[in-house]
Amino acid sequence: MNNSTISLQRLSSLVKLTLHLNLKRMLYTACIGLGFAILFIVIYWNMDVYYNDMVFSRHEYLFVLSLYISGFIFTGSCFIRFRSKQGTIDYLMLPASNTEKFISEFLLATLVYPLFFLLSYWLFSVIVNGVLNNISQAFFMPFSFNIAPYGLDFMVYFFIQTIFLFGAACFQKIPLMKIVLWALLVAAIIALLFYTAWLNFDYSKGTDELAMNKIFYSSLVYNWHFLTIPVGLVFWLLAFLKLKEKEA
Amino acid sequence: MISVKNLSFHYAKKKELFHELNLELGQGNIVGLLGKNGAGKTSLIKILTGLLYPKAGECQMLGETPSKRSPQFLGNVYFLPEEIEESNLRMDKHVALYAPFYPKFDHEAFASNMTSFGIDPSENLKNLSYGQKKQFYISFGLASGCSLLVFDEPTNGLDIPSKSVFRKLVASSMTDDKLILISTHQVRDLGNLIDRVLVLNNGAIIFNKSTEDISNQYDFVSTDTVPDSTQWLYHERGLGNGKAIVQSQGNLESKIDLELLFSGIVAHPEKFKTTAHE
Repeated sequence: MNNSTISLQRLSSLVKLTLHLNLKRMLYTACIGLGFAILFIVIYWNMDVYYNDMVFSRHEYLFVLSLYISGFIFTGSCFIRFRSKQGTIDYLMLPASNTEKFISEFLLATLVYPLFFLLSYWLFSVIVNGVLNNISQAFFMPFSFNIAPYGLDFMVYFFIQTIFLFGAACFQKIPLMKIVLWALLVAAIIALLFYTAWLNFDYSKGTDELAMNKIFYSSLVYNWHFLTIPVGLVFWLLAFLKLKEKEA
Repeated sequence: MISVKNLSFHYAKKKELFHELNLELGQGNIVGLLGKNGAGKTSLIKILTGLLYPKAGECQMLGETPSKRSPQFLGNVYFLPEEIEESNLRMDKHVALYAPFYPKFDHEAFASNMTSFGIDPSENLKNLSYGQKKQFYISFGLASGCSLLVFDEPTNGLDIPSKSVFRKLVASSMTDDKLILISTHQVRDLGNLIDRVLVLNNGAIIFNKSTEDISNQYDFVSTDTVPDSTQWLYHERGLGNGKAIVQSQGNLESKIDLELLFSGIVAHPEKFKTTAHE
């Protein structure tokens, strides 16, 4: 690739810089996510023992919920430097291509933050387990790094995250509210699409008998998670184009 | 180094700021871009650095089109805006993170500049005053090794000793392959530093002369020395003797009074017209 578009040396410097500039933001956002986890633990704590055991021995709900909340807040506040005039000048005058600038933000939001949150959550689970063991012999098993069971959750996370990334590239004034509204709009469109698919899908007929116009809907219902990949890629592309437009 | 041809520019839904502006500046100069508030200095600088796009005409800097903002171009241009970004980094960390983007960055020069300003690089930028932050960014810019340095109101916020250090550092870091463009309305701060004066007024360059030409063409005198008011191109009354600019007769040695010259140019641009060869 053309050196003016991507240079590995420049990209690594930019990733390092982006990481440094966002360390505190990562930490604060992870704290918000873990704060929600604590809140849910407290709520469950006041429920019956059976429910406590069930929730505290499994992490599906707590991990996924806190990752989603904090991850979307983090992604929604990407391109934060565009929110001030000085930050915009600093960003635009930085000697790197817009592709490199996008890649660095993208890597941060899509890979670095989830990994950072994974580690934070593991540490959190170890601490909470210790505390709960001491005060009431309750168990909160330390989080396992076997994330295979969360495959679908991650897929959905990355998909929704692309919507937030695009929103972050678009909105600089009252961003959080606009991004949430934007995400809700996309969710409504997707829900409408699935509702239509549901209405058009006839379970009484065998696969062979499905009319051609129903193949689309059936594949949508059965393979919805695969659709997140191309649609997510479209949002990434849109976010990149939006960033390019801002530079112009 | 800078070539602007027939450049026109206006902000959205606003009247035209620049109309068919032309400008040529070569390397090896420290240029003072002077103008009143709202004259268009910052807009011109932003066009030159690729932050704003011209509506018509051509703009070339270092042989490249600034609006394309290629990394090579940006790595060779350092722009210090008037308002600086709030940073939460330690200064030495800032340098470690930003210097790799400037291939010719000189760490020794940076350390020396910081020492001249008397700033400790281990401090956090957020703990510094506005003036100290400016000193840091000036030190960084001068050490960046960029061929084009653009400072917008660099002396705003600097105390008197720091202004003197600024002038010394700019003069000492100047080389033949560089162009330093300093935009200011605090004309006095640039005394003895610049070797070309550009005056922008109402979106037009109304004066563009080297200090050598200015010395050859004008004398800056007290109204006592040349009492004949018909010879005055411009004059200002003072508490004692007034000051005046007169056409040079070659028999007077006078130091350029930038402030007086600027006031004269803005008041009577027709008397200070730049000829084609200048």
